[in-house]
Amino acid sequence: MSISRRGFLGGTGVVAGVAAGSATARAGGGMDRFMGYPDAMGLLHDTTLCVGCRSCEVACAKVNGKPKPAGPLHDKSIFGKMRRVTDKLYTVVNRYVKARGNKPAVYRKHQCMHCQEPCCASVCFVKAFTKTPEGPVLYDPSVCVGCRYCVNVCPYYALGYEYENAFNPTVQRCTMCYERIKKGDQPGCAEACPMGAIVYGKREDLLRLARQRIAKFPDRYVDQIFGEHEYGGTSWLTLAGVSFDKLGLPVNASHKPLPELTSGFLSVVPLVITIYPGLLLGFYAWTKRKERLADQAREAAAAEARAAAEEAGAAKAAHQKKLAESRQKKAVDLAVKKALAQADREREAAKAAAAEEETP
Amino acid sequence: MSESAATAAVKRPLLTPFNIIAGLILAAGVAVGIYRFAVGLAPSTNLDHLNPWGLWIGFDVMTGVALAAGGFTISSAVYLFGLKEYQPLVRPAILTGFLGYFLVVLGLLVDLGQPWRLPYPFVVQAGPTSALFEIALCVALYLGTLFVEFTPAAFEWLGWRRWRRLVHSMTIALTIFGLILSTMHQSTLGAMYLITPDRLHPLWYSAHIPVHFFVSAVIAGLSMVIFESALSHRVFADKVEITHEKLDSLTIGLAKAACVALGVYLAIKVVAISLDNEWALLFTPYGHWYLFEILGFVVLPMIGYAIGFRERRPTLIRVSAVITVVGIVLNRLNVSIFAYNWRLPSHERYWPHPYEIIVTVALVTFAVVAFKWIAGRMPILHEHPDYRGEH
Amino acid sequence: MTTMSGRIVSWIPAYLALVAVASTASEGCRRPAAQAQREVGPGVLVLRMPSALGKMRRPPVEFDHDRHAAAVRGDCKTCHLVDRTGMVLPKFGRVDDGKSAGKLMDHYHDRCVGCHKRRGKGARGCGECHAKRPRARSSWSELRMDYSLHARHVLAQQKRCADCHHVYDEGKRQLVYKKGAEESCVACHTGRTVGRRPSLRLAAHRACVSCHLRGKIAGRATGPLDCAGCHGADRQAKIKRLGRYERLLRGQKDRLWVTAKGGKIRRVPFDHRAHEKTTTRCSTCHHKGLASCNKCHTLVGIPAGGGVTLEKAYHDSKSERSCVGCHRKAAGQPGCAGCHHTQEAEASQGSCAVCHRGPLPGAPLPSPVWAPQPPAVLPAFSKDFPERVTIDILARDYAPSVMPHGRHVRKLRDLAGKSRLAVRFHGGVGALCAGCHHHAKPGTRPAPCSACHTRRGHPTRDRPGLGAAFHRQCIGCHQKMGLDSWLGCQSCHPKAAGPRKRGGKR
Repeated sequence: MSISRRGFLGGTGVVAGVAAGSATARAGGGMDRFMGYPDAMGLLHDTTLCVGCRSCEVACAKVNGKPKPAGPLHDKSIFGKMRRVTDKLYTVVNRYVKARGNKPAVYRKHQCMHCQEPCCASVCFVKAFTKTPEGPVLYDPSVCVGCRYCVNVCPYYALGYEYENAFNPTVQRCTMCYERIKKGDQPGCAEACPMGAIVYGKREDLLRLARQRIAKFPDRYVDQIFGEHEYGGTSWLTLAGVSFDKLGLPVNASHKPLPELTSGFLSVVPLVITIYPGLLLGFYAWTKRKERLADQAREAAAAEARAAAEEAGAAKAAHQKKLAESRQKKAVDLAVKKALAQADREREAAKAAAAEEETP
Repeated sequence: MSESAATAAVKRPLLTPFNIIAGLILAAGVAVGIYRFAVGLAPSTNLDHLNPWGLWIGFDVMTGVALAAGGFTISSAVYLFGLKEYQPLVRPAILTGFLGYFLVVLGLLVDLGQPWRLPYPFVVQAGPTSALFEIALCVALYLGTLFVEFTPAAFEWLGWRRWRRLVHSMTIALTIFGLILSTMHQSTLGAMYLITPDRLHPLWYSAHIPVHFFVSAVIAGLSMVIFESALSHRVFADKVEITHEKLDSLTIGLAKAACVALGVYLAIKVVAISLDNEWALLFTPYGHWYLFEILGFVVLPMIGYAIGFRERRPTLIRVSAVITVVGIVLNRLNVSIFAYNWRLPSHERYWPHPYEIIVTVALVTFAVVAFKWIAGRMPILHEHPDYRGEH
Repeated sequence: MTTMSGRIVSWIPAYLALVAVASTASEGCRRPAAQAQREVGPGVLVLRMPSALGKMRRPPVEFDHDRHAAAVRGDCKTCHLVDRTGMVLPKFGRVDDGKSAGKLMDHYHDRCVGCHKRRGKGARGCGECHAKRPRARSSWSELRMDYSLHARHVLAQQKRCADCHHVYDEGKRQLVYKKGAEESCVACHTGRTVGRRPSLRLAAHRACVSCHLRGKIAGRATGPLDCAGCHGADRQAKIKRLGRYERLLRGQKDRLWVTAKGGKIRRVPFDHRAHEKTTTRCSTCHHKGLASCNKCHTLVGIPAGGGVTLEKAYHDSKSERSCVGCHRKAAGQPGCAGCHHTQEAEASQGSCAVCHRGPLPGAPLPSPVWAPQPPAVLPAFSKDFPERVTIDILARDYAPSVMPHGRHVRKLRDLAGKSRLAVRFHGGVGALCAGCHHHAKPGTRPAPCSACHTRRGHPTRDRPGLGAAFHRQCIGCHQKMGLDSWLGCQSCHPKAAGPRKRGGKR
């Protein structure tokens, strides 16, 4: 069966349309690194100063209109279980190391880290997330379809989703108090922290500040600013006196941004679109060619057989004819001979009869 | 008399046991669906902020797409690679594929927070950095492609000759298009997990997940065709045109292909482990589970297929096909649920809510019922007498 | 038709299902807690072939010395040789290891197994002694001779120093007692036997245990004879400590000048007598011998001092032996850490002069006597030096905090006054104030905190905001001093009764 030209062109046209439509992200082979927007803001959380008072949770709930966090603030029994960020609790303080003797307990505040190259922004298929030049990663609920791919991939488990909202569920997460910082205020948690364990400022300045602190007090801090490079870096930087894996953070995280893993693959997609048609048409042509050759061979064989059969038939017919002719001839000769013999006999008989009549 | 009239003349009883059970399941599914949209996802699922993707994504979307891969495998085999003897299997495979993708979209609509916004990536704002964008685009286009590929059967049934001829002329283009789209979205379903090297267990995670998913989709497609053709042959004994012997010989041929595909899959899985040097992980509990998946559902059916086609044993092949299909389901569920978030403590892990299971079962039932209705009436399992030989 | 392959094929899924169930079950289970490491008592020795003689074919033997000593009723001569002087030789039935591994092995086997056979109890088979066991942790605890224990020995031996102290006379090739050259054992006896000098372990056991044995035979009250008696942590804690004892005199000066040949900095006056009271034994500082530090630690560093220069020996802030290191450790005690935890790692420049206040090299050294530093004397409380301070500058949601300023100052004065180190380094009142009122000129009313700490803080200069400054200062100090650091906000400032405006000055 043959392909109609119209069908073929139609198909190719659609394919080209898809190719143009599915433009992919950055070039897969690029060696550049996004160093962050200059003048972007960030926050520095010094866990050696955190006493687990949870004033930040209260302030965050107040600023964002969420229900008050559980329990009286001085009741430390709430730290018996690890709590997670939810759609109603944008930030949460957990106790990671219990107090022992003279050594105080170690707490850490957890929330969206506002990564420099956020996974959530990379995986959103309606581009609902934006990394703003001011630093925060913002979410646009008006386009969100609710696929929750972002919630699924966040390496810090920092997103919540409104599962209880039936008609307009959206993703809920720390916004770094974007409205407030645009006005020049501090994020609610930074303002509320009584110990100054959360410092708000330009990310560059905070990095310098963190390095100063580590240099001044090398016994107090682990020599790592978490968020400087991990997974491409975050706007929320953390200092600690214990190893970060004890604080629930991936201490040996790669410095490579995670979205690069997807963009590397997606760069192959246009190759499929461009190579497959030619390749598959090639297969198809190959198949067709094989079929055609097979048909041709079959036909040739059939013709040969027919010719051979005809020849054989003609020869046979001629042979039969000759045979018949000779048989006929023989029969005729025989009949003639017989007739002649008969005639002779009759002649002889007549002659004898005539001779008898002549004598008295 | 025309075929449609002939079928109409035969009266079929409505309250067969199959219909009753299917009807109950569908009714339950619809009820739960209404409940889900009335009250939201929280009461009707066990999804939470740590496990936002559950059974509906893991099974309905990811497994559904894999099991509907028979469409592109068989049509490519017949139309592009010239294996004409499998022609009788093309239409059932296309129909299975179409219904499978339809089921995927329905499952997605139930799972999405705001499903009425599903067209947004195409009409409001696109996020082309996302693997999901590419999947959405390809699945939408492929669903259309499968639908168009299915329409000749419908047109034959309806008697619309011109339409039928028109679509038929586009077969090669549609097949090529379908194969391109399938390659892309089957592999991209795996690529969705490339960005989560920490949350997916390293034995299942690999930089080559897309290739693993694509190869397993081919395997799934072939095995589903074997399974579905055997089932149809039994259920629609009066409708199928090809003989048992012919089906058996086709099955044996498919087994060869599936066996090779499984062998390839096994090889690339071994490569993935050695590339990331994960041998020691095989001796952990998750490693045992991984070995169970590989040995029980890749190696075992591969051997089954091999013995089946060497000794010409279609029953063994069909059993292997079932095992393979179960293995594909297991693999997709492992990647999306069981081996995902593996570091979380057990009280924070996910298990499907009964309502999620009801909806999933109802969707599968719907696909089966639709297949039964269509195959019972349209020239899927047999050729339409008016178009005999025109394929 | 069930063929062979058919039957196998039908069993495989069942088996695999079983494996799957087992895997899932094990996956869901918690991992069993890591087995706690086996601990063995202080008297358990691990007998190994000396490395010089080769490797053992079987696992090493765990030998419970105390149990065996009890079995022979404390008769050391059952297993140990005794030399001419009556000293029990610590090695098992021999003087040294010899040169043959096989002979050593036979030596042990003959005696050990032979004795077990004779007594009818104890291990007989190879595997009972040479049992393969996971590595155990020994609870053996080091015992060092400190002032109290030494004083008790001095009393017991009636000041016969020669009973324990000796030096090795190369010429006579024997041990002699030299008055004025008494050292700690570690000055000569190290971890390994070198030539004819036994290791510390052999030397100590030979000397100590033999003496204790003689005492026991003579019926005197004497030290322990079993391993656990000296090396078990619980028994160590029970060793009687003398409240008062005579000062150990070894020719050291009470006060002296610390000098260094070739040094250019001001000399340091050093009160050796006062420092003796800060440690329990000489070897805390004289870790290798009672000579002065600059014998081994020179300005440039020599092999005898392990390459450690004199400067590092005195100033290494991480060492427990150096001056600075020990002072820093003292400042980390709960009584001091409240202010000192904010001290940076590098000492401030002013603190050098506290010690280096003698004359420059070349100038004549006066006699090293100096007047003691008087403790801080607090001025009378006044408006500028209040008894109570009301901090209301930030009061809004909470009532103003009334801070018992006088109580804090008095407490700090008492704590600091107890420590001569503290008095020396910051004897004046100014230092007490500087813990909280940093950068303030001592003796004057300090500027308010809000003068430098604005409401919001200064990230670039690492200066916390006013609220953070208050909380970090107070809560941080309480935490480091070992007080209950935080009992809730209201323990310092109750919630405000009603809405308030921001208060005025502090």
